[in-house]
Amino acid sequence: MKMVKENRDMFRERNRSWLLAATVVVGLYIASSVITEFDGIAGITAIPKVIIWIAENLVPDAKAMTRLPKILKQLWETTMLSISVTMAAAVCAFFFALLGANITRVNGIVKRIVRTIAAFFRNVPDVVWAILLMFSFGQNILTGFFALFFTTFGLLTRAFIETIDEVSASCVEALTATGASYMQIIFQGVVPSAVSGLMTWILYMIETNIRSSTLIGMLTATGIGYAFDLYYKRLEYPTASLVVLTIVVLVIAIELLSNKIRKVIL
Amino acid sequence: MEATAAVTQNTKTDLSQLFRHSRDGKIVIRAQHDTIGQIWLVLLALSAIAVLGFATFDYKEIDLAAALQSTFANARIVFFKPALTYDTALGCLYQLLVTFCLGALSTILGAVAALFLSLLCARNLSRPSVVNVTKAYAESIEEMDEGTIEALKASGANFWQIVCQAVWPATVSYMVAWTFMRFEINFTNAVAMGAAAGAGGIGYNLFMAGSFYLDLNEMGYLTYMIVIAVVLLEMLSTRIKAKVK
Repeated sequence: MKMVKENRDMFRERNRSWLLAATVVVGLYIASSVITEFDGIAGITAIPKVIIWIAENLVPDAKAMTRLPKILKQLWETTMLSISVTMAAAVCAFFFALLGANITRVNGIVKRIVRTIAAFFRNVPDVVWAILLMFSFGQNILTGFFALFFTTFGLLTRAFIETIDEVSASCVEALTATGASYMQIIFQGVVPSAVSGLMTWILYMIETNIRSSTLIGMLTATGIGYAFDLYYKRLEYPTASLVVLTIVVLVIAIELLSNKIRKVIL
Repeated sequence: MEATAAVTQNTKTDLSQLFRHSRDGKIVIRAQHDTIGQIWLVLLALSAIAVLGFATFDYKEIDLAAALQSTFANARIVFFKPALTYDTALGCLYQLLVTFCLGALSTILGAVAALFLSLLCARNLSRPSVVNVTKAYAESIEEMDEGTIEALKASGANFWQIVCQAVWPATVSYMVAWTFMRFEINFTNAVAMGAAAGAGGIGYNLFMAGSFYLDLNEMGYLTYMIVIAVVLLEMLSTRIKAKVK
């Protein structure tokens, strides 16, 4: 009899917290709609119109196709940039993560400093870096490079610290017991056990950076983001849509490829 | 007798499947050897692409040392002397709220659509029957214990009863975690959209301060506002995630 009552209490408790969560979400939606002057119903009913507009204006034509080689060149630049940024940031982040991880740290003060630096670079938006770098670097590929480098470095340092702490605690202990040196512990214990975790994060960051570099490119006038911005502002919609299509194909291809790599290595 | 022989035979094949042998018949004791090799191969390939990238980028003859030096001087103004001239603090807070609302709207609408689509996509809720969150939701449904669904099916529960009583309680903590992660990303995206596309919110103020007024102090002020908002969001989401678990 008592158990039945407890059960009922549990269900009532659960229902009450669901009701509270639902109220908060609905409230947030209504408040957000009012502040941003967003009309959900008008938004949904506009979808058919949007589709018609896309079908009329956003279909690549023959003129757009003649520009395809130029677009692909920009796309290539963006892809190379994303991979270069991620790899450069990964190397720096790895050494920082060794100093910041609990099991491989040198001392507590260095650990705190490293984690604070990582948090700083992670939380300052890449847009801020891009605008700031524009002052000195101008419309250069290095503007996008450093803007993405800083945020990627911050994110990867945190992710690498977590991966190293999660994966290699027991093997570091075992290696310390056998009297291995710090370098031996890192290269024989930490690196082999954490490398697949680190790899997963690198692949994730390459995917993210391809998207981000498109947006940053609009600000810094480089790569595929600039190509889109240029054609879009010249009202050459067919070419702009071709740019979008090539980006979509690239993102899907990179995602499929990295999923495949992930399956093999994990 | 025959049975024993069969068992021995069985154990033998099982053992030989358990261990990998090198060409001369010795047992290879380095486990995962192949996987580690493949990871290094991928890393090497990516590094090669990165080096090729650095070698072929069009740097337009930039003076790297001078540019870095002036960036450093600018960064010092941004981060150590934040001040407002063109906007008011209250105005900035309002724009921050607009960005927050844009992030919230896109996440809520996306999550509602994804929730229903994932119910149709998840393979273990097979029923005769379309984005990022959908995939995550569908995967968290597929990860749940099959037994609960089986038991409810056996007791004659219909699709919605299974969803409400078994699927939803078991997967909600994953979904909340994914949704909050997406909300944090959508917030920073909303800032970026404001700056790159003039979509409104604090990002647009940032773009105006940086690229139009060329006011580094104002940029610093706005940057700190965004950073504080992001950190608060992160703290909130950690707390809510802990509560749902």
